[in-house]
Amino acid sequence: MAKTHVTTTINGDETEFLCETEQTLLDVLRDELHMTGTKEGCGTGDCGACSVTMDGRLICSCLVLGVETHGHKIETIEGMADGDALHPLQRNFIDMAALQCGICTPGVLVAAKNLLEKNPDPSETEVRFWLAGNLCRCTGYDKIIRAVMETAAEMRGA
Amino acid sequence: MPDEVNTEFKWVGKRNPRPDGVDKVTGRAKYGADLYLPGMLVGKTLRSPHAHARIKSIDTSKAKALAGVKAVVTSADFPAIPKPPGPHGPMISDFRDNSMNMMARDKVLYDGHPVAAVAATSEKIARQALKLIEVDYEVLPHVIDPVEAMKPDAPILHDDQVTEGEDEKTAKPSNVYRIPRAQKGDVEKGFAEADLVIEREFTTKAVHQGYIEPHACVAQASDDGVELFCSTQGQYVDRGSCAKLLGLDISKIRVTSSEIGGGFGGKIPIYSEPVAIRLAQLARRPVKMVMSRDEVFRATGPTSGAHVRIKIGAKKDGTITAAEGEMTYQAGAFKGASIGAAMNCMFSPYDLENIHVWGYDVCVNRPKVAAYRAPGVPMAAFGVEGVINELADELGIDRVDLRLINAAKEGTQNVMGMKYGPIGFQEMLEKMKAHPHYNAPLGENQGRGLAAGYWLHAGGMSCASVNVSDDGTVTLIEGNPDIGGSRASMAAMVAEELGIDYNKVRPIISDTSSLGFTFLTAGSRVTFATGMACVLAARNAIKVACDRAAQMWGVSEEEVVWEDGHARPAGANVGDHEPMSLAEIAAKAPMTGGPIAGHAEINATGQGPATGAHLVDVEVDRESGHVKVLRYTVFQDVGRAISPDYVEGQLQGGAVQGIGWALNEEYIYDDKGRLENPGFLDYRVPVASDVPMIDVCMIEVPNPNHPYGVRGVGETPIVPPQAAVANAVENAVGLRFRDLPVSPPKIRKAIKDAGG
Amino acid sequence: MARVVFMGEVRQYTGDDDAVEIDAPNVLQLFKKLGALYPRLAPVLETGFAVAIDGEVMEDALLQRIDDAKEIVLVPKMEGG
Repeated sequence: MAKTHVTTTINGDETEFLCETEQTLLDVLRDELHMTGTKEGCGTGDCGACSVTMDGRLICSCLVLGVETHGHKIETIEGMADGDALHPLQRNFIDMAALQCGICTPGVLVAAKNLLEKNPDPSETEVRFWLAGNLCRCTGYDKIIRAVMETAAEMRGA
Repeated sequence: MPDEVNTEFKWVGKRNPRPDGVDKVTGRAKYGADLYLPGMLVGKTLRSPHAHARIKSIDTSKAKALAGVKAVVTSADFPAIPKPPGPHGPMISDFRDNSMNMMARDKVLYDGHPVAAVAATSEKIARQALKLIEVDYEVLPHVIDPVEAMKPDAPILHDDQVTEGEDEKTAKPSNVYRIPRAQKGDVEKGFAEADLVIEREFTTKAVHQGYIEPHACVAQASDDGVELFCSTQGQYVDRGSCAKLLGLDISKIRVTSSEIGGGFGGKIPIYSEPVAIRLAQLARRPVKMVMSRDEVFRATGPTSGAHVRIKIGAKKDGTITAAEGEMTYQAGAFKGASIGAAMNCMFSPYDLENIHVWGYDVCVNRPKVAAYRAPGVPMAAFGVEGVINELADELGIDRVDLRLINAAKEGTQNVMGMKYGPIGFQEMLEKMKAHPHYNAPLGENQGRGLAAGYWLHAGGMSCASVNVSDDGTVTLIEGNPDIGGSRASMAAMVAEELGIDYNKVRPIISDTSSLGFTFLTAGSRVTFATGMACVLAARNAIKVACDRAAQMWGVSEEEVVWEDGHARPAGANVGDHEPMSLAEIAAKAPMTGGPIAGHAEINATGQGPATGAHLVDVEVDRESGHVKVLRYTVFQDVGRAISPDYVEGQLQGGAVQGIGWALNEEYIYDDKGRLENPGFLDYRVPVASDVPMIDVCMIEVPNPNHPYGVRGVGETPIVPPQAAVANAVENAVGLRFRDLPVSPPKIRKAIKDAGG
Repeated sequence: MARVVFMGEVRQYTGDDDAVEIDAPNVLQLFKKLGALYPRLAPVLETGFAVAIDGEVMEDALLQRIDDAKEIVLVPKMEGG
């Protein structure tokens, strides 16, 4: 079957691609566009490593088809920093050691940024439940939660 | 936070940002599946749907004929490796097993065992091709439980395996590969001296390491050689395995380790790597193989499920007089459960005169077990610590006091024969007793548990190079994949030695052709062993720099010392020479004899015991059986924390993995021997909302055998949680739990059976 | 002359002997002499065992001098995750 021509906006850039109907957004990002910052941990929407936003809504890119993104705005980890200037979440994740192996980090950062846009003053419980869909096997979550809370406080003050 | 912040160092013991941090928070870091090459094919594996079956025939002709399929392999495409002569002793390295696990030869031995693989121009075509491969199986009776597998009429996995020590010609084949045993003193005498003897049985379930990154690799091959890019805990060990399994020269293979998305022991074995190489050789194109999560669960490293019997005797005053442990561990489809480590560690936090431990290494129709953080120890410690908690209650002695009475100290000799140097276990227990958590009030249905643990980290071979550029900045090359921030520790130690800014040291992980052999990122060895190599390489570079300064000043080498990043005259009588910085010496290097560099190739020895103890509060919902972890504090003797942030991270991460193991993780098989929960939805690892903050109390008793006092820290923290959490549940509901996981159905049933 | 003590797993290969006096300059020579005394131990010595020389564990250290050692314990090598 012929591939479908899709036009989207990814990290602010108009992006066109061809994809097969069954290819997920994750497949398109990685295999077609070679934007490998978005990770695949399960392919079934259980681990959150492939978290991106579509029109501001947090999604697992493995659960959305590439063709469904036509005309929509996608934000990925690659669009989080402004050139060399890291987003405060990214900076605090480094400064507060909120990553070990780093494979879950892009998804966690995308999810956490989305949370702070909706709720600039989350409680620890709210952060934990928002990030419950992002599995991390290394850190025990402690330093991740602290870095998100610290960033929220910093951004409220800024 | 450490109790005492180091003040004597500039970079060691400080919270320096990791050198790979920006790449990892921006998505730039390249993990195993992130490499794309021109003309790259997709490799996929056909796996057994049966737990145990004979392969009568495999027909790949239809798959090979499919347009877009470039290569198909079965076991016939790999050299048959002869059975190595036994006995193997405590360290089993059997490449025939590895080869048959990589690709089944005559029989499939577990659900998920590879039987064939294809390389095609797209994933879709590769999947279609797998469906066209016809395998004719004769399904055989299977066995999942090790106790069942030891019975005389159990299905036998390997017709040519007899229990070690038996005569290969006359003995009956057995699923029991080995029965290792260790003894110290006389347990019969010890038990006779006891006022109280408690003997209990415990079980634990197979659990998976659960790294978030699936196994992934890209292989390229030509007659000139092989290039492999993969996610691994040891590129050099991988290279050796691939050479052996493919019949290639080691020097013809170059393995580059990608960034690694978690391992915990599970990325030590090879799985798809030699298959990808073989496919690439046949197709003459690069081949990428990435496992699905289903494949990761079905066919890679869970740790052993275990049956453990523990018997401990003590006097009324709490002195333990004898300790005995019998372990039955699942090895999976091939021999090699981690019983040796369990025997060496399970009673080793304590100073005991009489110990007898033994275990059964049993093959069953499950994936071959892989190391998982302190491999083998948590299951045995679950039993040991459980019995010690029960002893304390029966004797009316505080649980920490009972451990203090029997705590290992400097000079204690454990069952493996090691005599301890400095060890922080007693100090740690005192700190636990004095900690506010220990006496904090508990509410209704809440309980507090505690347990201790021990691990002896590894040493082994490591190489490092320190190359000084002409601007005085340094490239540090070492050979261990950075799984949790080790680059930061290596850079800190080298900056400390050289006396230069931490940010002027750029640590690089080498491929197998750029630096000499370096053993695995495993066994909590990296900061200890490779750290030692990095320090020695830096010291060798300093020697070169001092020699250059001496020559420029026209004095002898002995008359120059290295202090605070500068070569300086050793004394006033040497002459009035302006101290020279590393940058100044390096700038002159091209005209004074060539580059400034230092190298080290070592086999690190002098490991120190690493002990820990955990304290946990839980609340049990008596209706649903749900356990909420309310508060958790980890205490550990860390030797010296080179990067306190990442040491804390190890302790926190290990604790949470242990909480998952204790409360709900388990492999569940159906009656046909098929894994029922091969995904993160049904094999549920702890998520952020399941756990509280994990408080850390680091005790620093430096290991005298390391230049900075390092003890390996990564493994110990997964040893105490299972017993500590179960103990907390016991205290909350007033009932004992000896079978993991302590899941809601078990808790509900226990409460109901007790009339609650 | 060092006293070589068999604790733990190694006793499975030494016919329940628990110690022997051996004079050897280094670990390699020690292993050769032990292997001759206990043939079942010979094939697993180098691959399976390390030595604790007066308490300090030394793995894969065949050339380690033991002239001055008083007590040597054969300890099984450890794996890790």
